[in-house]
This record gives sequence, structure tokens and C-alpha cells, in this order.
Amino acid sequence: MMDTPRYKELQQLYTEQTDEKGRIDVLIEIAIEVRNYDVEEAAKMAEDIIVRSRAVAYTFGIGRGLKLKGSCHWMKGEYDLGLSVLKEALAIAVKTKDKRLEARVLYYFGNIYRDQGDLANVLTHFKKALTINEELGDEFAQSIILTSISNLLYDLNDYDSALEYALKCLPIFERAHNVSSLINVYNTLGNIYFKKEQFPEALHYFQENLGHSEFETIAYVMAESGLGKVYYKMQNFDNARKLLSNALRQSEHLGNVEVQIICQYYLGRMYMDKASYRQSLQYLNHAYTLANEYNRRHDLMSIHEMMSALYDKMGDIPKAFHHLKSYEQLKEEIFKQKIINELRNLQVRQQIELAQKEKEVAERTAYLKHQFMANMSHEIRTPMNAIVGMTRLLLSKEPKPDQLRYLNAIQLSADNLLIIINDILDLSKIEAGKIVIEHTDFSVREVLQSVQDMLLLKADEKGIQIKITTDDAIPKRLTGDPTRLNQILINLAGNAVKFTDKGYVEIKTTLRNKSNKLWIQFDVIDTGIGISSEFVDNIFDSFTQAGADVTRKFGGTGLGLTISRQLATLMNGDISLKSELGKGTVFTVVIPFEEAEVQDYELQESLLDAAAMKRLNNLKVLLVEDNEFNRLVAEETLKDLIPALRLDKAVNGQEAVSRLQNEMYDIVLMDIQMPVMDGVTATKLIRSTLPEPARSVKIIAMTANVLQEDVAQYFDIGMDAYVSKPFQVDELLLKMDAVLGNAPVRRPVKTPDQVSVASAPSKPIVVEETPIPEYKRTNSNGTPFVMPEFVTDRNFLKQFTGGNPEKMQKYISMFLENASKLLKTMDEALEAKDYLAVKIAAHSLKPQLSYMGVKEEVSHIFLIEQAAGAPAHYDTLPDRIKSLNLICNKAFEELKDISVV
Amino acid sequence: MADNKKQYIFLVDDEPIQNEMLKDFLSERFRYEFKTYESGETAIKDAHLNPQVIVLDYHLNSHLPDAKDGIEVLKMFKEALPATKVIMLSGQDKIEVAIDSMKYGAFDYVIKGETAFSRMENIINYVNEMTNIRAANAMYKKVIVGLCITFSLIIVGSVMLVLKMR
Repeated sequence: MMDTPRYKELQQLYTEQTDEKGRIDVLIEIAIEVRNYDVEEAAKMAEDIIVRSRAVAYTFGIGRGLKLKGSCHWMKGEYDLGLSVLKEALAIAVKTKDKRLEARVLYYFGNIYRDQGDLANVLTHFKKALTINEELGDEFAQSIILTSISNLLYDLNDYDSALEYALKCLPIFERAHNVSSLINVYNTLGNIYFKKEQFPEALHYFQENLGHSEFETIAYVMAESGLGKVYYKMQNFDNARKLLSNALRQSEHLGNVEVQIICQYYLGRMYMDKASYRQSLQYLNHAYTLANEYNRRHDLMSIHEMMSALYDKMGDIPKAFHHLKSYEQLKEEIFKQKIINELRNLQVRQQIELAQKEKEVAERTAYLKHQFMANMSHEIRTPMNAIVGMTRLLLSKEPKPDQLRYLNAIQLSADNLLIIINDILDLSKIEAGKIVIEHTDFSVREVLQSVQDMLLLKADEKGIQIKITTDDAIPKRLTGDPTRLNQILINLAGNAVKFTDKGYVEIKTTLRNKSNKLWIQFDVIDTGIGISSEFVDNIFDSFTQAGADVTRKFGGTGLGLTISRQLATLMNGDISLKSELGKGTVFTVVIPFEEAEVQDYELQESLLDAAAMKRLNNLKVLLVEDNEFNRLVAEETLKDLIPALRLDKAVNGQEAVSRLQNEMYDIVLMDIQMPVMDGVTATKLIRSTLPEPARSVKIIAMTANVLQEDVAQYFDIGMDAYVSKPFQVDELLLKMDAVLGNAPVRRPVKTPDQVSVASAPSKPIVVEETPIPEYKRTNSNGTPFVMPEFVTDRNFLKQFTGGNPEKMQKYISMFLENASKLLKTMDEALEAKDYLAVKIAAHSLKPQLSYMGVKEEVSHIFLIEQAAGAPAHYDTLPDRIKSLNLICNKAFEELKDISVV
Repeated sequence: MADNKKQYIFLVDDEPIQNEMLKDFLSERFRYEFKTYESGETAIKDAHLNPQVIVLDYHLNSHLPDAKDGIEVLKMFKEALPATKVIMLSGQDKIEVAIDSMKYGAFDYVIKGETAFSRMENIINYVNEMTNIRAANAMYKKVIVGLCITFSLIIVGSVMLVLKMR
């Protein structure tokens, strides 16, 4: 039966060998060839090789023989035997320092573990083998292992990555014309496409295999069974049954377990679909027995799942339940280790350099989590918006005293609920690494003041005092994240007020250490009930409060402290506590800040003044919102505050677009998630298809999606601002005022561009809105224009000049001279409406800015150049050039600072 | 190459910083004499130096209405020095610029920006390589012609000899 050309060639070679070792070497090659067709025979040959090698003390031969024997055991499903033989082979490989053999043995170890469903072990073995082959530079052997890793990823249901690996190997095998490897990778590809439900591709690869393999071989029946299952999924039952039955018969004959199980499994499923439950059960039982006998846990898992479904259909609920349990248990066992690893990786991501693959998996997990959070936040916030808003409306409608009491209660509960939701979202965000720590200028004293303001009411109610003491040595303005600091202090001081019935709560701030950073210590001291020592240790863990009854008595989620600690850690700080039961507690937070460069700021109070209200008075606004209640809330609120406001409504994006075609509006308030057409699509349509002036109407997103990337996306597609729902009236009005071009002058150096977590977004970051409703941000950011902390970047110059400071200085001075000239030209040209000259100047300036590391996202110099060439966009130029001037001035400042070199 | 003459590269751009950076960058890598010009008019005056390569800004002096723009300068140079390779520099990634440049005989064109410098280096390397190959080719031609003459002389000689022997 063995008559392949390769076999004949080897036979010939065998007869030509003159010494025993040479013969053994050729025999090994023959055995490998035979293994493709007849495993049993190959195993016998392997045994022969071992015996003959031992006789002449040929270690190389013994090692190879053992490896071969192990691989045959694997193919026959004799895993334990295989493992013990491979162990011997590995010992020889290590002893003789035969790297090539070691890699192969490790590879077969991996294969056996894979069949047994011990995935963690598989990965370590494959990785070791891969490293060895990489060192050896053996591309072909690497590809074989990559194929196996692809199989492994397939087992883990990560089909995209599996596909990527398999496709990487494909050309290498094709080049090498190695039929058995090709068959292997085609099989893998067929399986992956099968799972991805891309059936034509799957069919292609299985058919390819059918063509490549000899009749009545394992590869052939594999291909047949593969085709069978694809046809089954394509509902081509006749073909499927024919192929599967055929493959089953042959695989029984060949003694191949894997194909037998596959065929029986899919035949079982097919009969189940046809409601022939008895036959189905018969097949599945067979498959089960086989899988059990050979301990193929992955197959067992799938079979349990299917049997559960089958018994469910047959009405045998207890048995269905039994199989479901077994299925879940197995699934857990197989995937558990992997998942634990993933989670751990997620937490210590900054410390450990992850293997490429694991990182990708972790990112996917994080992505799913993010998706879930965004959805959850939307689902909860939409109704909350309605509740909060309606309550506010009712309160303004002079309710009766008892109604007032109820309404107040509703408002309080809603606010509490919002805080809880925000807590949970915050925590998930921190854990997903989505929290961005800002670096903006702020005043500690202002933050403390706002904390005091917020807690004053509560404290007054309880008859306790709130004291704030601040160290005079602390500079007026610091650089750091005021929002997060405020959140920590509110959490701690809020707790302190909650758990203190008499006495006082004090927030004491001291400058602890002034090195290159200012270490500031915040002590939150209370005279409350205290925390007993047994809880002190784990009080910062999630959902832990001082005693189980605390939640009932005092409310809250118990997440506040966890969040506070996580935030403090993110800011490179620390948090600790001292407490005595009955006497009180001291929470100590120590956080490093930097001293702000500019100390004397006139604080721009971006509050609504009468002038702003007047400006808003005659606006025509289009409200696009699908939720009837939210529509009502927004409408009533706006009309209450701005009586002369003209407000039209649309219930989805499509309606909004058609309204804009017929009428002029000043502002569109756009909900994001809507049926028929969502806000993002509608905005894109408005910005790209409508004629002016409707095309450039101001659009404010109103959404419960408070995640940063989402918000950044809204700005990318051309929205002008965004408010989070449930919206605060003041905030909405301020933003409306701001988008109309009345934004208060923004202070320089006022942005979050320092990202302290792993992800470093390339887009300008928009300040994340704090979801805590009561807290008014000290740096509200109404429009998408943000100035990064540094606009220039000398990396290119440094690299270009090879770090030569004189040369860098030469270019910088040239730039300083030239760019200011160009800016002046541009200003003058704009004044004179000489747009061609603007375009030319912008064109000249563009490469120079890029050499100084001023990015297009920041300067928009390319947009200016383009706009100056298109009359429709002339109106955008004054603003853009104004901000270009600001940016360039900042760039000049930065570049003049020679010390940076 | 054998000749002792200096080999020139002209850099023509109205942005001094661009000229300066390019000059510094290239002079560290090539043994050419570099000359920089802020306009095409001044550059063409030095045409007698027979530069091997000219790097020319496409948008040359577009703020001066009377000055010649890059394409005009390109045409002038191609007329005066057909063998000189002109590489156009443009601030814009536009297909028209590329087509225009190539139509009027530019050797290549490069977009200004951080990668422009190394691209320029590659192109000049390529120019050098081509020049060398051309030179080598010319030499081979001479050798082959010489060999042909020698062979024919030998053949003629032997024919004569045979004839004489008879």
C-alpha cells in the first residue's frame, strides 16, 4: 500500500546505506512518511528503530525513535503511553543538547495536552518549542508549531487570531510543498472558517484536502468529515449524511478516534434536527463513550451540551439537566485557568510585559467590558434622566406640602441611585484602565471649598461642624487632577459626615515634602463611630463595609473607599487610615502634585450671567430625542428658563435631517442612541450632505455614553459639544452659549493630555465629564478645542541632528524667525481677505511645524491650507487661525526654553 | 570616478529652514558640494557649475507674483542641463504635483515632512548608482568594440595567411 514517490526514494536510499547508523537515519525518515498513512505500522517501525539504535548505542537514533513512538501514541489516542515515551525522549534530547529534537518532543507534548483539553500546559510547551525553533531559525518547524497554536486558539474560540496564525503558515508550507503540513493547515483553516460560518471558504479548504490526500487515509476521512459538517450547517443534509457516514465507516476501519467522534456528533445533531431523537441519541452515546474512553475533554464538552439539548427535546428534564451541569463543569475546567490568567494580567498590566497573544486576549476582554459598561450606563441613565427631570419640573409647579415631601424624597433617592451607578461605573472604568488622570492647573483651596460646600447641608442637618485647615506653605495653584482629588475627598469626608453624629469633621491639608514634587497630605478626621480593627485591613476592598449591617443602616455601596484608593494609586499617591472604635477615624491621603508654572490666575468663572441668558433667548433649537419623557423634560426645562426659545422636536435622526433641510436652526440637541437613525449617523449626514448653512449648524450631543472614546468620536464626526444625561441645566445652557461662539476665554495650559494609564490616545482628549451631579467642575470644557500640555516635540529634531544641540538651536531659531513672519503674513492676508496668500503661507508653515513636532491634530495647519482654497470654508478660517496663533505662541515659548534640550 | 572636478548639488527653496536642514542632512552623507538658493533665477545663474542633482521646491516663491515657480525653473534647467537630475520637493501629497513634475522631466518627487530627508538620501543614492552604471556601461561598450576590432584583425590576418600558404 505504500507507494508514494518519497517512500520509494527512501527505500532506494536505505539499500544504499553502508553502516547501521545511516540505515537507522533513513529508517526514521521512512517511518515519518509511513506515519502519514499507517500509524500502526509507523509505531512498529519506531519500536524497531529504538531497538536497533540501542544495539549500536546510537543515542540520536534512540531519541528520534522515542519521539516517533510518542507521536504515534498521540495519533492513536494513547495519551498516557505517549506522555511517558515522550518524557524519555525529552531526557535524551536535553542530555545530548539536541535542540531540534527537544523542540519536536515539546511539540508532541503540546499536542497530547491539547487533545486532553489541558490548555495552559499546551501553551507553555508550544511556546518553549517555538523559542527553540526561532533560535535555530527553522522557519518550517516554527510554522508547524504556529499551526498548532492556531489550533489552540481555535479551541479557545478565538477564531480571528487562529485564522491569523494559520494564514501566516500557509505560504511557508506552500513554498515547501510539504503535503502533510499543508493538509494539516488546510484542515485548521477549514475548521476556523466553519466556526466563523464562512462556509464557502471552509468547503474550499476541506475539498482542497480531499484532493491532496490519498483515499482511505486519516487525512482523507478528516476532510470528508469536515465537508460533512459544513454541509450540515449549510442545511444540505443529504450530502452531509453521505459524507459523514462514509467518513465514520472509514475512520472506524482506520481506528481514528477523532474523526469517529466528529462524525457521530454531527450525525447525532442532524438526526436531532430531523426529530429522530432515538437515532440521534444512539450516535451521541457512541461519541460520548469514545470521547470518554480517550479522555478528549473538548469533545466531551460539546457532546454534553448537545445531549442536554437532546434530552430537553425528548422531555427528559433530569437527564438534560445532568448533561448541562457536566457541560458547564467541563467548560469551566478547560477555560478557568485561562480566564484567571487573563484577569490577573489585566490588573498587573503595567508591571508585566505580556506575551503578545495574551495581551490581545486581555484587550478583547476589556473591550467587551467597555461595551457592557456603555450599554449599562445608557440603559440606567435614560430612565433616570426622566425621573430626575420630571421631579424637578414638578417641584417647580408649586406642589402641595405633602406632595413636596414626596417629591423631595424621590429626588434624594434618585440622586443616591445616580451616585451608586456612578460608583460602579467608575470602579469598572478604573479596573478596565479607562480612567485618565488629568494634569491641569487648579487650586487646592477651591477644591476644598467645594467639598465643604457640598457637605455643609448634610452636616448642618446632623448638627456637626465641618472644618477646613490648609497649610499656608502650599502654593496657590498646583498641577494635577482636581476632579479626582475632589472625588476622593468627597468620598472620605462624605463617609465621615455619614458616620459622625456629634462633634466635627475636619479636612486638614499639609505640605509634607517639597522635593521635585509637592507631596500634599490630606487628613480627613472625624469624631464618629470608628472602625473596629478587624475591618481596618480590608476596608478598602470592594463591597466591604465595617460590619454587614452598615449598608442597611447607612446606605451606600461600599465602593467609595475602593474607588478612592484606586484613584489615589493612579495619581501615584497612597491612602491609609487610623481608627478607634467609638472615638473616630483619620483617613490620610498623600498625593504628589506639581507646582503650577503660573500662580496668578484670574479665575474665569464660566457661570451663566444675564448676558448669556439674553443671548440664548431668541434661539431656535431642534431637539432630537426618541424617549418621550426625556423629550418632555428637556422641552419643559428649556422653556421654563428661556421663555422666548423656539423649540422644535424630532424623534429620530432621520426626522432631524429632513427638518434641517427645510428650516434653519441655531442649535441641534442630538440624542445618540435612537431607533431608525442614530445621532452619529444623522450628524455625519448633516455634515456631509446638507447644503450650507444647515451643514454647519451647531450640534450638541446629549448622551448617557460617558466613555471617553465615545465622546472623542462625537467630536471627530463634527459635533460641537456634548452633555451627559441626565443633564444639568446650567451645564447645558453654558454649552449652548459656548457653541454659539461665546465661550469664555480659556486659560492656557488647561488640558488633560497626560495619560497615566496604559492606553495613550492619539487624538486630543476631551475632558471627561465627571458623572457626580452636584460637583461643578472647575474647568468646564465646552468645546472640542483643547490645548495639549506641550504642543511641540523635539524627538524628530533630536533624531535628525543626532542630538547635536547647536544644530537644533540653529533650526529652532530659524523656525522662530520664519514662522512668526509667516503667521503675520497669514493674519494680514486674512484681514485683507487674500485667501491665496493665506494658503501659501499655510503651505510654507506646514512642514516647518511638523519638524518642530507640532502635530496636525493640534495645529490644523493642513485644514487651514485646504480651507483657504475652498470658498465654502472661508468662514472657518478666522477661528482656526486664531487658535493656530495661540498654539504657535505656545510653541515659541516651549522652543525658546533652551533648558529642554 | 577619476575626474577631479567638484560635483554639485543645488538646493532651491524659498524656505531657508528647509534648505538648511536638507543641506546639513545630505552633506553628512554625500561628498558633494552643496549650494542653496532662495529662487530659481539665482540658481540658474550657476548652471555652469553643471550640478549633478537639483532639489527644487514645487511651490517656489508663490508669494512673489513675478518670480518663476518651481515648474518653470524645472523647465529652464532641463533645457540648459538635460543630464542633471531634478528632484521636486512639494509640501503637498497631490497627484497633480507628481504628474506635473514628471511631465516636465523631474527625476522624482518628494513630499516635505519628517520622512522627506531619508527619501531624498535614497533617491540621491539611486542617482549615483545609475550614474556609476552608466559610466561602467560606457566603458564596457568601448572594451567590446576594441575586442571586436582585435578579433576581426586576427581573422583577416589568418585568412590572409591561409591564402598565402596555398
